[in-house]
This record gives sequence, structure tokens and C-alpha cells, in this order.
Amino acid sequence: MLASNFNTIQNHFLHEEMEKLQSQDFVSKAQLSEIKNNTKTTKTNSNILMRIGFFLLGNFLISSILGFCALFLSVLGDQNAIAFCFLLASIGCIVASELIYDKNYFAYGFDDSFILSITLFFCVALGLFTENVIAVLFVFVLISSFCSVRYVHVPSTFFALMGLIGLVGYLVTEEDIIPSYYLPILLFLLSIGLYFFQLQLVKRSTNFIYTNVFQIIKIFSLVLGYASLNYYVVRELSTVLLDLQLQSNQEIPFAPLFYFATFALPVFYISFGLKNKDRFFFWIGLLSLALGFATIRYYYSILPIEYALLLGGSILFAMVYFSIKKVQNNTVGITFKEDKSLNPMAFDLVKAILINANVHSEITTTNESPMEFGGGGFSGGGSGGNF
Amino acid sequence: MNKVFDLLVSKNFIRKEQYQAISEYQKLELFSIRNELLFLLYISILLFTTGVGIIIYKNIDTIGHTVLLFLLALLTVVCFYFCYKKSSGFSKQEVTFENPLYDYLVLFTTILMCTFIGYFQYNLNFQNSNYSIATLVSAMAALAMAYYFDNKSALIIGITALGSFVGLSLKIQTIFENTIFNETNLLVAGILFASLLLVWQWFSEKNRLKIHFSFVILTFALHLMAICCFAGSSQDIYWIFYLILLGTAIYYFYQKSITFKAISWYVFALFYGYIGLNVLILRIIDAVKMDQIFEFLVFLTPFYVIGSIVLFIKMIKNFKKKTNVS
Repeated sequence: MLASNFNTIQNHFLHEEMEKLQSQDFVSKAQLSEIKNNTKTTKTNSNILMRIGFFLLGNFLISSILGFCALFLSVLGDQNAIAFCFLLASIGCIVASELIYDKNYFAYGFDDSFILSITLFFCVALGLFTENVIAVLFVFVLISSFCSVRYVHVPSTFFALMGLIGLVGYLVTEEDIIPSYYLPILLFLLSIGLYFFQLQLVKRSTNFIYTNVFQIIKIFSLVLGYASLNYYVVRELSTVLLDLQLQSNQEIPFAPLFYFATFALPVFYISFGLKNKDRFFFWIGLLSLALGFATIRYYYSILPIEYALLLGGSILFAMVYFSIKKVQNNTVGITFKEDKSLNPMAFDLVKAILINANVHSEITTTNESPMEFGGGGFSGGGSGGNF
Repeated sequence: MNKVFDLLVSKNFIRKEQYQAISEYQKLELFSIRNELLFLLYISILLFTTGVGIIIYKNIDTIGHTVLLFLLALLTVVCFYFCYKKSSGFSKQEVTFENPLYDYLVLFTTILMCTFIGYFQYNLNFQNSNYSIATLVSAMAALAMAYYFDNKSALIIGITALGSFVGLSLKIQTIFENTIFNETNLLVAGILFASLLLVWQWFSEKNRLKIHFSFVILTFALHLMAICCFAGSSQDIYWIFYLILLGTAIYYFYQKSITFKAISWYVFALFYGYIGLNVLILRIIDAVKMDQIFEFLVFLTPFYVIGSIVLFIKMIKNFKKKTNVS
């Protein structure tokens, strides 16, 4: 059952790859539809809205079953008995997930809710039995990893990585295995480790179906790498997690390192991404650069916001304009030509939302009541805006 | 990456010569940063215009406003001139600039124009007059820009401004703040505005006028209509009227989503319809006082949810079948 299942999932990814080739005109439409009709594939929702919708429905289903059971279980007062029920629920979710996979549903939406519930219920049961945080976090990572391998499940991978960070963070802040101000550096090392681990996996794996799982590890390691060294994150989390009482003129330990990394890391990401034609590095680099400027502005607001916005907008415009001029006629390497295999839908959507959220507030609030002008839309525009 | 193509060849999905062509293409190492650069351009325009907006707001009571007004007008006119010069003129069909940068110039001009109109009215001491006139003029200006230069962002600005002329805040934030429609007259205004959008789209389709704008217009109409109906369904007396209206609207969008092959409308129509159905069921349970058999209802819910999951899977399959056939 396992092998045949993996085979259909692989077919699903191969079809996606064929669609990309079709959009680039390497493959004809007839060839694509012929292959689609002749190979068995999974039932998958590639539309994220539908997947979320089915995920919600799956959650309703699980919670309604739980609610039904709770009517009978309310007589049980004993903690261990309740824990045992959660264990049963977890096993039930495993059975359900296996059945769903057997029916060839893959990343359809409601399978996500059952797979994630396996980990959730098991960890709740374990927590009630043992009341030991380290054990729970450890098992959380373990089961999530198992689910991501068994069900080729990307969200589980994400939660496994979150659990890993939680485990490390807990060991450092609560159990004090090392002095807690080393935590950011430890997390940065962890992200480097994850990145190279992922690289090894990609190299060694003969199985094509785990591409998305590896990608999420990569994205996660890049984001974690930046977040662990960003000045704002380190400073604010130090006060929350490590109970450092900082005055506003006091610096956190290793402050120069964090200041440096806040800008050096994005620049590294962007240049690495452009050099190696790696879109993830490029995007995360751009995003983290924006966050870097926002961080500095949060602590040192040299210019008033309006001039910062004008200046930032002009500089950004000039940079983009000259970049376009530079790469416009390239036919090899980095280019301004449209790549048909990429879908600009996401960008269009973000643009539409931005224009809806920001610009409009400018028009009406000027008209209706100037006093409200600084509110609402601008807080968003300001913080994201210091490009 | 080449592993994938090897696999495709070994499975006989692509032929040898296609494989050759692909690996030739891969050797070029093309890396298109078009979308990213255009997006950054967009951000830069938003930053700049937001900055202009704040400067105007801060200086609104000081002496410098005449100069500011003049500068703003000058900038707007210059931008407009360049847009006008480069455009290929009005057409009922979709027209594009040769250089995509001009689309962004049109957007920039539109925002500046709207800022200018609002500021102009404030500054020439029309305080006693109705402020919404400026909004209406802004909306008209934005819509004119949208239709003449074929710009969807300008269309979004135009529709939101027109909405705020009616008194509706169509910003996406207000949905999350959950304070949109707690007054009946606003609800009615919202429903009327959504109907106006529907008529607008119908009219454009009939006259074959910028048909590709339909997607934006109808998306606004769908969400506005549904949210108004939900807000209305919590009222005490007329809730049934709102639910009937919701049902009609959803049927209309169900049809539209199939003709437009728009899966996002289809999903939202199903989603809103499902919520509406549940509201109706709860209302009925409430009305016939079924509290006594509450336990029995809890027993039924898992089956109800399983039933709805099966129904939704069928609906999605149905959508795929219909859009593939037609």
C-alpha cells in the first residue's frame, strides 16, 4: 500500500511539472491531457482557499465527534482516564488518516486536520500522563517528523521545526543548559545546521515527492537564521523570555553583532539568491531587508516619517528603475523577460490588497475628518514602509 | 532539478527531443525577476504617495499650502501628460502599454489626483459644504483613469471611493475590525451598492466594454453582498429577508463562477452559502424550541459535518467537470 500510494503522489507532482512545461511551450496541450488521462493521480486541492475550507470542515468534524464523546466522558474525573481518551483519539486519527490516504486524497484539506490531530492528541495525552514539558516537546517533534515522512505532509514538517525551536528554547531558558544570552547564536547555528541537513537530504533523496517538504525546511532555516540575529527580535525577546531588565540606553549582550547581522544577512541572502538563481533566498532577502530598515527606524527615528517615506520611495524607485534598465535586454541569466512557468497571481493579489488597504484611507480621511488621518492605514504603511 | 526531467523521460511523459530542448533551455540559466521588480516599483509608489499624504496632512493648517497645492497639481499634470502621450487611446477592449512601467505611472497619477482633489476642497474652505462631494469627484476621476488607461488598480481605488461616497467603508481592515454594518441604513446602502455593481457589470458585458474588469467588480459585489446579508441575518425581524437575498445572490454567483471559471468565487459562494444555511438551521432550532433534544442534536452533528464534507467534494468535482467541458 505504501509504495503504490507514493507512486500516485509522485504522479501528482510530475503532472504539476508537466503543466509548468506546458506553460513554457515545451509540451503540447494534447500531450498533457493524454498523460493526465492515462496515469492515476491523487485527489488534491491545489487551490489554497479550498484546502483551507476543507481543513476547517475537518476540524469541525473532529471537534463535533469530540463534543459527542465528551457528553459520555464528563462522568470521568480522573486525569489519567482523560489522558487515555486522548490517546484513543490519537489512534483514531491515525486510522482515519490511513483510510484517507488509501482513498488517494492528498493535501485535500481534511486530511491535514486528521494528520495534525494525531500529533496534537498524542501530545495532550502524554502531557496529562507525565506533566513533563521536555518529554512532550521531544515527542511532538518526533511524531510530527514521522507524519511528514509517512504522509508527505508539509504542515507537519513546519510544526516539527517549530517544536524543535520550542525544545531548544525551553532547554536554554528554563533548564539553563547554557547561559541564556547565547540563545540567539545557538538558534542561528541551528538554522545553519537545518540548511545543510536539508541540502544533504536533497542530494541523497531519490524520491521526488519530498521536494515540498525539503523546501519548507529551507525556507524555515532562512527565516530562522534572520530572525535569530535580528536586533529587534533579540532585544524584545530578551526582555520577555530571559527577564533582562533593559533601560532604553542599555545595550543587549553582543549588540554590534546583531546590528551587523540585521543588514548583512539580507544583503547576503539577496546576492546569494541572484548568484545561484534561488528564488527563496531572493524573496526572503528582500523581505528581511525591509524588516531591517523597520527595526532601525523603531529605535532610531532620525527623519520624520513623511520624509523617510518620500526618501525611501524615491530611492527604491530609482533602484528598481535602474535595475530594470540594466537587465531589460538580457537573454541569458538574470532577465526582465516574463517567465511563463511563474504565476504572478500572488503578487497581483497582494497589490490589490495593499491598494485597497492603504490608498483609500488617504482619500477619504483627508476629506471626511483630517483628525483621523494618522490612524488605521498609516500604522501599517509606516512600519512596513521603510524600505 | 534535472532529476525531475530524467524521471519524466523514464516514465515516457516527455520524448527524448523534448528533453533535449529543455536541457538546452536550462543551460541559459534564466532567472526572471520581472514580478519582483514590478512589485517593488509598486511599493515605492505607495511609499511616496503615503509620504505626500502625510506632509499634506501635517501642513494642512499652515501657510505653505498654496505652494504645496501648486506643486501637487504640477506633479499630477506632468504625470498625466506622460501617461496620455504614451497611451494608445481609449478602447473597449483590453489595451496595454508597451512598457509595463507606465501602468505604474497611471496608478501614481491616480493617487496623486485623488489626494489633490481632497486637499483642494479642504483648502478652498469648503468646510461647510458636503465632504462627500470630493469623494465622488475622486471616484469619478479614478474610474475615468481606470477606463481610459485600462488600469485595474485605479479601478479598485475608484470603487472603494465610490463606496465611501455612499457611506460604506470598503477597506479590507474593516472586515477584521468587525464594526462595518451595525446600522440598518448602512446595510441597505451596502446591498444597493452591491446591486449597482452587479448592474454595472451586466451593462459592461452587454456593451462589451472592458470585460476583463468584470472580475474586480464582481469580487467586490460578492463579498459586500454576503457580508451585508450576514449582518442583516442577526436582526430580529427581517432576518429571513436577508437570508433569502443571500440565497439568491449565491445562486447568481454560482452561475457566474462557472461561466468565468473563477474557482475563488465558487469557493466563497459555497462558504457563504454554508454559513447562511447554518444560520438558518440555528434560527429554526431556536424558533421551534428544540432545546429539550439538545443531546440528540449533538449526536447528529458529526454526521451532519461528514455529510457536508461529502457534499463539498461533490460540488468541487462538479465545478471541475463543468469548467472543463465548456
